[in-house]
Amino acid sequence: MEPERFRELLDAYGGEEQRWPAEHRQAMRALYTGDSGARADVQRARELDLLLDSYRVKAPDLTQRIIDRVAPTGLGRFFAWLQPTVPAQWWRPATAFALPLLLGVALGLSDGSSGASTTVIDWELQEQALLSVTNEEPWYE
Amino acid sequence: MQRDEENELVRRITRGDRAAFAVLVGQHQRALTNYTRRMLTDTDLADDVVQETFLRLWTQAARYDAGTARLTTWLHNIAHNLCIDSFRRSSRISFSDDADSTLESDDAPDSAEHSRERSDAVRQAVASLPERQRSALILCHYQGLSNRDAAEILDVSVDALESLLARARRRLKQLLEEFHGA
Repeated sequence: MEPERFRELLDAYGGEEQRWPAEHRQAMRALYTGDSGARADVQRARELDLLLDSYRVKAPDLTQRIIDRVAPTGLGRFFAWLQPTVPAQWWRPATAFALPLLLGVALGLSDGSSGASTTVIDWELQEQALLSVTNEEPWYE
Repeated sequence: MQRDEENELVRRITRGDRAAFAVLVGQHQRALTNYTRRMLTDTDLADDVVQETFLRLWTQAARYDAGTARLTTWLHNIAHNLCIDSFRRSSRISFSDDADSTLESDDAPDSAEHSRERSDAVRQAVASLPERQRSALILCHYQGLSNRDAAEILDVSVDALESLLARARRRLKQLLEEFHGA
């Protein structure tokens, strides 16, 4: 490996061997063990690695919270999908609520366009009903 | 965990197996949280991204192709894209108000104070990097992904990844001159 390429790789991946690309690791190791200038380059890269390693974050255990959000059935999966976890996903519940509404409006419009009301008054039947009431004897007599 | 075992668990998830899902969440959740908390710094948002990433695993496990990527790479890819979406929604990087609570230290009080100061400086320096440089650095340095996996997640060549990494490290060295070599 050329020293120039060695330095390029150090600049990118730092001085820790485990971070070096697997395909170059052996060649890099061979170069820096036999070259004091390369060893100094590795040492300088490691100083920055150590500094970067001082930035640690606390990763809480979210396992249960995540598992609770999923359900075993297909329907459960659908409801889990509906719940937005980031603001950009509010379209999911919004669409779910809007769809039945739009469907109702569409059905209403299509029913109204099918023609006039089909209510038919059966006058003969009404007349018979009235006559039967007037022919009855009053209950209080 | 062996890749075969992991692939079998993913297959079980496609059949709605919560136990298999729980195993994979336990296996990958902390690594992904480390990633998102460094990418976003707003811890609540970062945790939401992790939850959404696993929700995608639950609902879209059938889309995972074990032949093209390791599961950790696939999950990092999802988390990365969600982080990028988040960046684009908020034009600036937000810092958590409880920044100190994001740090861990086992040091004695005096050195703990210095460690916290140094860690905070690194956190701010990393957060100030351009989006792609920051992603490249976090994926390779902190997450320990291979150059090929990181390049795939960022959708760049390995050469382009090396360029991003070199620029990121050069910039960090400048920003952290005060602490460098201390």
